[in-house]
Amino acid sequence: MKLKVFLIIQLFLVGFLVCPQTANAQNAGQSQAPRTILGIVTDENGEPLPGAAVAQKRVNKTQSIVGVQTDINGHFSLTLPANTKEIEVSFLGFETLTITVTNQRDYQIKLKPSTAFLEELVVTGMFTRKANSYTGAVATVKKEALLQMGNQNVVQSLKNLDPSFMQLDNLAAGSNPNAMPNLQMRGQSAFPDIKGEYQNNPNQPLFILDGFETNLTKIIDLDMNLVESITLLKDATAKAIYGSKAANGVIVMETRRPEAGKMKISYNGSAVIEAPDLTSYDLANATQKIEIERLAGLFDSDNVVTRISRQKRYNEILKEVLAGVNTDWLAQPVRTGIGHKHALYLEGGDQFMLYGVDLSFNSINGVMKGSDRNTFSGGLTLSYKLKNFIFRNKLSITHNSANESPWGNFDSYAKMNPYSRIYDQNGQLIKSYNYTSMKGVIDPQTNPVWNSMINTKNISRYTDITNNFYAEWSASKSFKITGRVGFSNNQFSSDNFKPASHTDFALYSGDDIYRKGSYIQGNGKTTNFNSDLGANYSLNFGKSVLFLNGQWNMSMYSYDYSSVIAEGFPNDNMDHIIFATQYEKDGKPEGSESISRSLGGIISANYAYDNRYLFDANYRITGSSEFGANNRWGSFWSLGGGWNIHEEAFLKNSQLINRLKLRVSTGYTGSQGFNTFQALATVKYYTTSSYNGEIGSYIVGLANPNLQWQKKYDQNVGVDFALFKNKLNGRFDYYIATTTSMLTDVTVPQSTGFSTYRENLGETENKGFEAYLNYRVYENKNSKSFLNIYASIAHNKNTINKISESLRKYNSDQDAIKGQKDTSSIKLQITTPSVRYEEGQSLNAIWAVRSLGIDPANGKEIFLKKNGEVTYVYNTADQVVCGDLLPKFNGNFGLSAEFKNFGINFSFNYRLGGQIYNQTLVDKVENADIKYNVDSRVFTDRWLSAGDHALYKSIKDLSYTRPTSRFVEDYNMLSLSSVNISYDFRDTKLVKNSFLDRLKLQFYVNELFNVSSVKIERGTNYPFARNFTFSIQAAF
Amino acid sequence: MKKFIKHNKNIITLTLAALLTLVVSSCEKFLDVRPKSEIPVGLHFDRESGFKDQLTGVYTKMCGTSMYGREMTFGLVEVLSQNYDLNANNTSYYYASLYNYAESVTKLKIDNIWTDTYNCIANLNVVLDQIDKVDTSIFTGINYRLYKGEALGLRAFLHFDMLRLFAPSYASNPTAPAIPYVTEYAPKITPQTNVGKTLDLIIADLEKAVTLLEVDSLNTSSSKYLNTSRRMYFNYFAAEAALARVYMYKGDKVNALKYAEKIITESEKTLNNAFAWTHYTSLETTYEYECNRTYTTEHVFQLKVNKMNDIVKYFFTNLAGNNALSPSDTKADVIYEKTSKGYGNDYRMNKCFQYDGAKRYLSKFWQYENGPHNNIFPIIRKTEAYYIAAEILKNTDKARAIQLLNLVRSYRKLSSYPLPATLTADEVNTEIFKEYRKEFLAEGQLFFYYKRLNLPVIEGAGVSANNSIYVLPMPDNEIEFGQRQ
Repeated sequence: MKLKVFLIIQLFLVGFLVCPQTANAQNAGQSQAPRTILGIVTDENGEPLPGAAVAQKRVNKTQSIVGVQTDINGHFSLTLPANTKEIEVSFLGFETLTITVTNQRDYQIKLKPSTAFLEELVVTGMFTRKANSYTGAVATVKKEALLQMGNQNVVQSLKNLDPSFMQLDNLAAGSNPNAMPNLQMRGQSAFPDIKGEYQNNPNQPLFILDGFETNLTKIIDLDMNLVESITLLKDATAKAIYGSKAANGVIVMETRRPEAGKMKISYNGSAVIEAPDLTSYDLANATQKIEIERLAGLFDSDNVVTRISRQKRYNEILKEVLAGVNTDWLAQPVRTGIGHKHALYLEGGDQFMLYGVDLSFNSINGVMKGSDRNTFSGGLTLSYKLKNFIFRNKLSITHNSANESPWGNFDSYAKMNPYSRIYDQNGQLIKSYNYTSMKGVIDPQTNPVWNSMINTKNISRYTDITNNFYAEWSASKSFKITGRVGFSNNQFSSDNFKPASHTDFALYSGDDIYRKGSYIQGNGKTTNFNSDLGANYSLNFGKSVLFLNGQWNMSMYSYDYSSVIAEGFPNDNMDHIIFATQYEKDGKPEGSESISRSLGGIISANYAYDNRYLFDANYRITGSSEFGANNRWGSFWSLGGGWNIHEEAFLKNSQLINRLKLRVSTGYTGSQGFNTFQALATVKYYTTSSYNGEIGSYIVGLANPNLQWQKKYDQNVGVDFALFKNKLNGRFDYYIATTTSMLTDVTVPQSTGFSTYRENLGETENKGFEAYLNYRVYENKNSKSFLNIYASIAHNKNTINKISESLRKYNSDQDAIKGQKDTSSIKLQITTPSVRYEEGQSLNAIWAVRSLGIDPANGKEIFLKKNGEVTYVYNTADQVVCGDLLPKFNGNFGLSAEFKNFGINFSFNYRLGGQIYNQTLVDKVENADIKYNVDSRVFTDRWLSAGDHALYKSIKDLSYTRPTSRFVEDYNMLSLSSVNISYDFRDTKLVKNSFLDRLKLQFYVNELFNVSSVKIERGTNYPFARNFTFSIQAAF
Repeated sequence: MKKFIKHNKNIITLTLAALLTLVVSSCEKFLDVRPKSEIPVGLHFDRESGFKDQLTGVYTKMCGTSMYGREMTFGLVEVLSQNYDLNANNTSYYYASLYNYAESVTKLKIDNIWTDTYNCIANLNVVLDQIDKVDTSIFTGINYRLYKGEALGLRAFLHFDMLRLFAPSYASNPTAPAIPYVTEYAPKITPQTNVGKTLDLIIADLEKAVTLLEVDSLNTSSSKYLNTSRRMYFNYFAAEAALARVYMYKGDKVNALKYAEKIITESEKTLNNAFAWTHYTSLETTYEYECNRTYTTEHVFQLKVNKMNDIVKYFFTNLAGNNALSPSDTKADVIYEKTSKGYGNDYRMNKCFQYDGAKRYLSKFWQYENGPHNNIFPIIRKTEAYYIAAEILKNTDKARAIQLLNLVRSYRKLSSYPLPATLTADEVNTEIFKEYRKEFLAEGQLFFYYKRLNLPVIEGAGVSANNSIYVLPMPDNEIEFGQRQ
């Protein structure tokens, strides 16, 4: 093998340097004399392999040899010197074949794909590495695998493919097509954004699209058919090249590049059906609700007069209930949304010029009526190749518009009482109802359906233009210079219009009557400019292979947004801001603006000795305007080592172990992305006050010129393996990642003029493992049939190592709020557990007071104090960790199979361990506001009289329930996240006898079911949806 | 292989050279980014207007309700002197009037006084740091001296009020730990200095300010009455009057008298006077709105409070409800000695108490539509210099002391009731106390009068006065993170 690798490299060189014509001395006949042989080199299927090396086999080191490369049709002609016994045929990705030369003149040579090259290359976004010699922890996902998991968007499919990539539950936003997912890789490495200092989710991984940084929205709206591959960079070796931005992991995407040949057209069309999933709701029906109200004493009073009027009200409601009124409010704002998407790709060209044109349209109709997201995008890729130069330019334009549902928030329907009619007997919409509160007060309650009947507008749009230019100069086979320039501009706007008749303005009176109706208009743009220049060099000496890369890059980013509010829109048809009667009272334009720049350089080396011992090193230096003048430059590095055990002599021919690679890596990366200018002393002007007719300025905050990156120190140990003739393959990684110098507010005495400033102080640790296993149960190459099963698991544990005084203060502030007496304005803060920062605990810990349940004697909750004593009194000081929001284990499993032309794929998503605070039970059962509809468990599980062993407090107990372990529930979940059934018309008459090149039909179902150990309302502001898709792929 | 390297040596060298050039040429400047919404300090102060705007910002903040726009004048500080009769349901100040500094509403007010004042000081420190860094040629005329003088003077003036509120008086304990005297804009904790030392630092800054501000047009102009707007800034005389106040607090009678006399001298000039006595015709006006109830011409330093009516109307009119701040009729009678001495015609009473609805309120700060004296709040009055001089001279030159008091009283329509020359020194002292109470009603100076003399009794307070009343607690974070004593 040692020799083989050496030879492959030699042969490449030979193939490059030696011209076929020069070795063309004709002398056929005897094997003793020089002679010419002819032939064709193909793969196993008989497809010709252009560019394969065919050369005389070297007998000793000093021998000079002759060789040629196959032409575009795989043909070669080689004149061999006398006494040549053997020739060698090699090609990248295939096993080198040695052939004994006989008297035969024509050779048909078939090459087998090399196992070592099965994974081929690792795309890091800056350069590529041979997977076999790379020591980083990466996961590569190909287009086919991605599309098998669904065709909603890249993120939805990715979360089914790699367990370290997590999309956090968003129980409020549900399946809102316009809500951006909250993503993280390998745990949380930044403190949660309590004060809104970050521009994005601070734990969000970095997205690199075709070599350039991009944002989540663009990834979500990206046409999936354009994605060629996705690489997740997880450990220091893989990430370090992205230096200061890479701490949260990097997701590298490469899009499709045009292929040569006559024009080829591919079309992909889908019809998507989204159906609301309301199974998590368990609301009381009309009969139950009126009984709950009665039990709660809404119709009782000690005062006779009051009691009579309340009884009268009871009878009115009862009459409606008996008349059969049982309104299904949840059904009002939802629908089955039908969307469709189309993608067209045209490509073609010759050896000099290639072109690719993509057009796509994606219309998503969400399950709330009127909620949609439409994306139209087009792109043009041109590639020009001249000698050893390649120029490639990709221009893409995306236009998106997104409408929020005019029906408002879903929870406003969940709280409507089922005994209320929507329309009166005359078919007129009822605008307002009278609901009785717990105190017996009758309050007006507007009908949420009303707002859907008037003309409103809540739309946002953006247009994105991106142009990426790439140039490459291959000075030689081993030396290459690349350069890139990328520019993108995103213009976005939003309009939110509510006319005077909207229920928001129901309480306006007096002079404010003229202020009814509002229009919020926002406009903004972001501009991104990136450029880099790189050099790649490879060197072979002896058994060593060395790849060296250097790159210099520069980037600029600017953001600018402003919005104005206008008031007074008497008529709902006047839905343009110019019809306003005035600007917002006492209002002024709002907005924000930021700009950041960075510069950096990187040196990266990959060394392999004999393909057995592997070594990676990266060093990056970055300067960013976001950091203090004293710490503007930061350096990041990584070291990685690997051992290809399967290349060792003792495993070389093993049938059992086909691949076994050990990897170790360590290094530093950084993270940023929070608001700029915190390091600078800056001045602002007063906008609402003046002095003696002049406007004054003031210092914004206490600048910290020493501010620097958050640093993440990653350590990773991993193993890649393939066993039993490659039937079983898998990957295991264990990591410890410590984030130090986390940005946090530090409290200073107010005599400094300010109360806090930003400092690098906090420290957290994430520890965990990931494992992935794939087993090919059955395979028949002839019928192209196979059956694969796969499973993955991930575990992550988060620990806070160090926090600042101001975070400790945040804890006591939160406790103080929870310690306050019941106040409706802060009910949510009082009744929900808050994030707490305690050294040694997790950022995701659920803090609550331990509960022993409800005392059957009196219906009061019994608490356990920190010292073990039992009490009825709730004290925030007794809060302990009662659970953790993060699952102990999460992952996927499933199977994929193809039988002849049929294909099927099932993918399950699971979480095991970990807890959740069941807020539904708190808000809709225990602290349920009886004025509104409640969970039916109010009816069944609450304490009524002495001796009841109930789960929840008495129905007449109106006190707020503060965080208690009673509502911390173990959260295990299993969902069938994706089902895919396909039929490929390959090798059928339809394809063979028509202009079609390819035709494939697919059917997907996403989120078909979701079983969990916790009964909680999912999708409170927007329901979750099940997704059914029919899709057709055709190429001609 | 070697051959290849040789062959490509030039290419490699060239590339490396190109890379290196890029590295070198991309200088730090590229990373210096200027936001639009916020201006970097360096850029802001590269021209004169930056300094002016920054000082304007400090005055703006001083007008805020946590500072001289309310709490440090007619609000909290005046409540502590017991000059008002508070309703027991007064949610804003009732606990303050009981000196319950730990109660949350009161505590928040106290915390905000500290926080906002020190924020002003930080803003002034930026000015003082930058003013000596920049090229002085950017300043026109006398502006360099003016801005620097104002910044130094204000820094001292604000620290002095922090000292008066948050540290024991010099009279009670000159070596007690006082406040941090902050002279730097940095995330750095300034240690506490003791009362005496802090006063020395204040005096040093004020003396420098006086020297710098000599060029003030309020001092140099031949037609000072045209420069009255300078009273709205920390002017030359404000620095001198503040020095008189500070020296007096420190018990340095020689220097206190020196600076008090300077103010009196200016005040007694018959021509070209920076702060002439307010003429009776400005008080006995035809229309209510024209009446000059705060004697604006006599202000040595005043603040122009934006939309002052939006602040005062909620305390001095029937809009105040339970939160009204005014002495009751009975209390006003006592303060102004209406029944006991027949001083009912004193303008300070006669013109300053009016009905709004069913109740009578202190109308000193009422704002009228088109009123010529609107939005002005007195911070230093020239009469304070008369009282300081009288207090010092009462033992050495009693006749002059009484003469000075009578002079003030004559401009308050008490010329028919001159104080007799036969008064003893103690009696003169009592008259000075009464004057403080009458003259500075709702201006926050009386509490400091009690404190300066460390008097054991605050009239109207249910408890005897000591440092537990005289010394306000610093904010918790200041104590904890600044390790204050």
